[in-house]
Amino acid sequence: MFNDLLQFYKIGKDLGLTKKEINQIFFFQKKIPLSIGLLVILIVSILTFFLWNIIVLIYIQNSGTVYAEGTFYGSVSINDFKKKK
Amino acid sequence: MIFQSAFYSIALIISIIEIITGSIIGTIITKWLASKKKWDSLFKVAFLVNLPWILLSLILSILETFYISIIYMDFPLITINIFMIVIVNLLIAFVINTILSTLLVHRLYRKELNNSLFFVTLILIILYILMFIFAFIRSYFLVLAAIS
Repeated sequence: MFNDLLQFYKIGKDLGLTKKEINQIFFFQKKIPLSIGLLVILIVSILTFFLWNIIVLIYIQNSGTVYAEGTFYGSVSINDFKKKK
Repeated sequence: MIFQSAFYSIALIISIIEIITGSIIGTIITKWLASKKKWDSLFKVAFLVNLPWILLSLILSILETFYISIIYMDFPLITINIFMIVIVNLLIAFVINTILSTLLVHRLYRKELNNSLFFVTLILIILYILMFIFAFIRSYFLVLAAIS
């Protein structure tokens, strides 16, 4: 595989092509315009912003106190956990 | 209670100071860079380029206040790294802000997207360092307000 790649570059250089041109032919690249790339990143980052904040909010909502409100930790015994089940 | 409202007011004042200083510094840097590159160096255009930053910093400061008040008032026993939430929000906002400002520069100055992207990134790095420092100070006062 590596030798094939090297040979490909050698042939390209013999033909008088630059490294960039060889790469473009080799990968059959069609350059994506920067404007479209920027718009895609913009949409993805806006979605990530909302998702991240929703995840944080859900995490906060679901990680409330284990014991009932007003309970003193010293008054919690093993029996309380048995009652829970 | 008195201290709480005092700390909230301090946090609000810090937010206002942040937005005013950020917009002034941003506009000055934009104007200076534009004149250095021999682009159109109008004050109005430079201010418009900084408009997404102003809007995003407003949204972020409101979000920060909301999170800190929720976490410390409703769930005082939860240990959540608020600083991490703020940093992730800042990083995502930086990406959104860069793209929005790049599109604005591309439209207003009529320059190529590559050039506008480089131009905007330089300005926003300075502005976001400023925003980071202000967010740190503001969150300190917000936590004090929530726990007092």
